[in-house]
Amino acid sequence: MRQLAIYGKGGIGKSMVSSHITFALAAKGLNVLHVGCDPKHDSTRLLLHGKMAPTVLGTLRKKNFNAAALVREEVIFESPLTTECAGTIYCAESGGPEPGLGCGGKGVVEAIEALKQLNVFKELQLDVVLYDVLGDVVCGGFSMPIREGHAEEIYIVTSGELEVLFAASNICRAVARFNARAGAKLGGIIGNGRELKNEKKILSDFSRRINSHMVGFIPYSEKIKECSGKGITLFQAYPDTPECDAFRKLADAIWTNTKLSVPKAFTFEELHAWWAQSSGITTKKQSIVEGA
Amino acid sequence: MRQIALYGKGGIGKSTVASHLSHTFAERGMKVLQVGCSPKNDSTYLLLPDFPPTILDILRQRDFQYDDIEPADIIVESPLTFPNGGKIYCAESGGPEPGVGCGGKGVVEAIETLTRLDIFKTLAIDVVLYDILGDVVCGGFSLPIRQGFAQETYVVTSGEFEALYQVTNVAKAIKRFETRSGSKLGGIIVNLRRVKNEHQIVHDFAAKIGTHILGIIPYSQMVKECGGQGSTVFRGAPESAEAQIYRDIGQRVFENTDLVIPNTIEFEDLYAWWLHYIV
Repeated sequence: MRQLAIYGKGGIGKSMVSSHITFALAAKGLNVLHVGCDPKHDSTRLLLHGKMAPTVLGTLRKKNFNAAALVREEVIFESPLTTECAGTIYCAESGGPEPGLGCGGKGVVEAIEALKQLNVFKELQLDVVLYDVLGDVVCGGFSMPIREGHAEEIYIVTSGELEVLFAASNICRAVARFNARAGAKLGGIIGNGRELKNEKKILSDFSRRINSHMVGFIPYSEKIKECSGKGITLFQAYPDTPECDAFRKLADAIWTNTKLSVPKAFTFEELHAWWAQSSGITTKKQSIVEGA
Repeated sequence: MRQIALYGKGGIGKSTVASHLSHTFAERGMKVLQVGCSPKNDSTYLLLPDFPPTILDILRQRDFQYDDIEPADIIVESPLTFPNGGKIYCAESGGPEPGVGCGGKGVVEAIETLTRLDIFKTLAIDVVLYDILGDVVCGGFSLPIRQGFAQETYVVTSGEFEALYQVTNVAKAIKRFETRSGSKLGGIIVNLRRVKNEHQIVHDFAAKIGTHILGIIPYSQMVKECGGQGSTVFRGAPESAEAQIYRDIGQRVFENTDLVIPNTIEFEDLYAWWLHYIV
């Protein structure tokens, strides 16, 4: 069984990309468990016809955190899209605190504990567990999947935008830090295009610089947005499009990927200097210094 | 002194909006303090030549001895110059090292430090703008609302479902702490993302949660390009339509007195409502 974790800056399309990977892997005949690790609990929405699954934390709360009383069917849901796949898609959502209260990462910690206790990896004969993890706060809770050695492979979703790459570089720092302890490595960079000039080149350049590689690139597409709106993946609405092929190729590349590395994060200064060179965009920082 | 909090889904353009708001306030001759509340510490990126040191880093270096800290250690003045004494001061809360500890701790410590050092008085600040990571409205990140530091909260959103859903979470937090703190919703700032019927969606959404829209920023490659150059549109493209739109938003926020306790919406209701604009 392989355990993958998907990270990336908030809003970059982690859940959308993750759901398509999950579907494409299941279409190949694999049994996949997709675990959303975000208090918003909408990671598996596209796999559940736009529905939101009850969360592990929410269900545990009702049982006064008595994990022994938890039943698998209460927290793991088979996707209706499984009928289109040779394999099976299972969905789970960690959940989190009520808005504005408590710790955001607690859901992730509790969810992983619960899955272990339910012995779902064996009982469901899983081939792949995919953790889709909220990326903006890589705090202790949200780093759980890589910190405790649950996920051996990490993929980072990013566009070619500077601030998104900066977030990606920070995630690399966390991966490198936990590599020593838990052995998790970076499997690669997944490009999610935002219609930037030279974006593919920027991304492959970036991937090389952090000692990794770009495992796939999804071009910007209005169709993706339309499908997200409808609560389905592209595979249901537009199976014969280049976008859909890009996701199939991405899933294949991840499944056959053996190039795992300990990434090298940029310092801010390095990222800035590199960015100016790679993107061909001259920054206006000097004129800020001059007060103009 | 006004204290304003800005929330919204990750990646929706909060820091861009915050930096443009700070700029317009400073143009009016106000002294602005923009406090980035995200472990990424890049909120004030468009206003400074470099990243400022973070409050949490400085605290760590000084073993959390507040008495050893000077305002100049944690506040960086933007070199940008404004008429009539306008100034932008920048601070970044910072956070834990990636992957360790609590992400919200930086916000808690930052506000504590600013208060203890009496920064607002010392620098004669007219407006404080908290730019807050939006994806986890956990205990730490809700502090400006919860403890009533920010009397006014604004949210940045597009017409995308995920972004609107995040707004309803912020609305829930405001309502939850209503009696305790008194932070209220001042309105919505829209960053368009080319969603079908997006204008209609955001207008109806604002009405649904009982607030109003302070401005609509069109989807713009130009804003993105300016961001890539580390610059606001005021500097990168001062004559552009986008620059005028940001100025208008600044003016409306400046003049805004319409503060409400928003209505909350449950996920399923929001989704069913949103879907009929799309399908």
